[in-house]
Amino acid sequence: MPRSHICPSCLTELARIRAVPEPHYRLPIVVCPGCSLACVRTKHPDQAFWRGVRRGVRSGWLIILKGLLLGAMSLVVIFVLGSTINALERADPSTPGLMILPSPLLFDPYGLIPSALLAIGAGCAIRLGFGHLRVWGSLCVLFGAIVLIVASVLVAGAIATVKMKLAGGTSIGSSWEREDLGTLMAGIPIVVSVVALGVFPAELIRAYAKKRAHRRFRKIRRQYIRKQTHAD
Amino acid sequence: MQHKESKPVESIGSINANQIRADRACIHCGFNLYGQVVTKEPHYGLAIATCPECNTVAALQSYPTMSHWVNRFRALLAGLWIMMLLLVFVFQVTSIVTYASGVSSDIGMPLAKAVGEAYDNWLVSNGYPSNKTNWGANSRMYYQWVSVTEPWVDEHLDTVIEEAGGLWKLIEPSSAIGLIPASIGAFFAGVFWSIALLGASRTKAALIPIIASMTAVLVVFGFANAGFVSWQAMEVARRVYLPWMIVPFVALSMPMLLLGVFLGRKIARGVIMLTLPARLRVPFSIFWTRDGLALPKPKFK
Repeated sequence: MPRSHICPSCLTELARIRAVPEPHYRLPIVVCPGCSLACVRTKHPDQAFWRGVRRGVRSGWLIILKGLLLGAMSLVVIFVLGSTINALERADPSTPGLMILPSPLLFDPYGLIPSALLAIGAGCAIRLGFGHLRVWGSLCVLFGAIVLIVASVLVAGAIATVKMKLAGGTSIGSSWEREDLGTLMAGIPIVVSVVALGVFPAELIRAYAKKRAHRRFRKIRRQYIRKQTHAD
Repeated sequence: MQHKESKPVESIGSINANQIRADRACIHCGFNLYGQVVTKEPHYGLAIATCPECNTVAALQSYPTMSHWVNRFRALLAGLWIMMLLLVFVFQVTSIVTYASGVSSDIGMPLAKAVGEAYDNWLVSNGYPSNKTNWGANSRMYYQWVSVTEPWVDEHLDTVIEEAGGLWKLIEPSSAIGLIPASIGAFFAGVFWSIALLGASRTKAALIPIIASMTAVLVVFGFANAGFVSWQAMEVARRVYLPWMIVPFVALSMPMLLLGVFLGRKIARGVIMLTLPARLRVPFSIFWTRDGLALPKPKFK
């Protein structure tokens, strides 16, 4: 229920009348239906303070949740990228294993379906979570986060390697070769395009939600108008 | 205040025009005055309503007296915020000292070996038994962990360092790489202080982490021997290198700290823009208004 607002002239309750900003100072004005007096609707300081606190807390939580969503989806895409690279390596005819075993045993295209679904799900979740950005913007946020995570891991590995070399030892990590980089470069466009596919279901969900909200708003407005008509 | 003489005004439009038809709490007992008759008091002609529970008269032309609890909560929140900032300050000082201490232990490993070996030789030459054989397969680590005595350290440490070629020669160079993660941590500390101290300009906000770093240096110089209960060779080496390490450690992390302070608010604005739609950015508008910027308007797609 709204807070009470009494007309100072004729004592009519104005709480249910919508305040409109007047053109000069943009003050919220309510015109009394009884005596036509224009009254300014002021917010109670208590109310304004707690509303500010509630909004701040809600926005803070949203930032945290969206950060977690971004981190989780980045890890999902990194996992998908890893499995794609693995599959590409198996499909490579120069892989020694292929000379011994028939390729279908090593490269199973159906095995990639769960990964593809995961990637589409990640794209969909990111588009829904970052719907206020443009499509390319939300995808850039996801791939930026992935680049940041991968770069952090690579820098940490590089530091450890340099430390080991300075200490006179050898790195225990696997060394990257040109072929590995080539497979990675082949895997990235595939994964990026599959993740981008997730945008389409997300846009459908958003359109449906928007339509539903619009329908609900129209219903509430109809009810309000009906109520006003009955009151008059 | 008791309301004695009041008369209801004439109804306007409908029969309930002079009743409160929304929420309004009594200023005395908090009872909801919904449905109470609004009257004009005879003396000044002000609109009033009387609480049916406590008979207190409430003026209706302005909002009721602001609760003292708002100011109390504000003071409480401000106090909690200051306490949290103090805790972060202490945490930063402790982190600098602890991390520098760890790097010093790593850097001082050759000195620890030299000290342990010299002490072990001294024990054997004076007819005491050596524990090296008890370490078995881990005998390579024995010298770092051997417990020495305080008088022996006071008497022989300088000689051991001189014989080994001085402190610079005994430094383990690979451990100096540990300064890189420290500068990353310093960057994030700078970002935090830049965001947390929104009331101050960037220059003033940079002073607090700088003071924290200086405090860490003072703590190391003032309490170098604090907590020095173990007299293992590694601890002796750490004690020698920590005062040496702390100043370059702080000096090397300072540029990243200042960069963090400089970029902190920009990073915060970027994160808010990325994660929140325009409507929900309003509670964080201070990140823009503090630097004299306007809150960005939503871009319609």
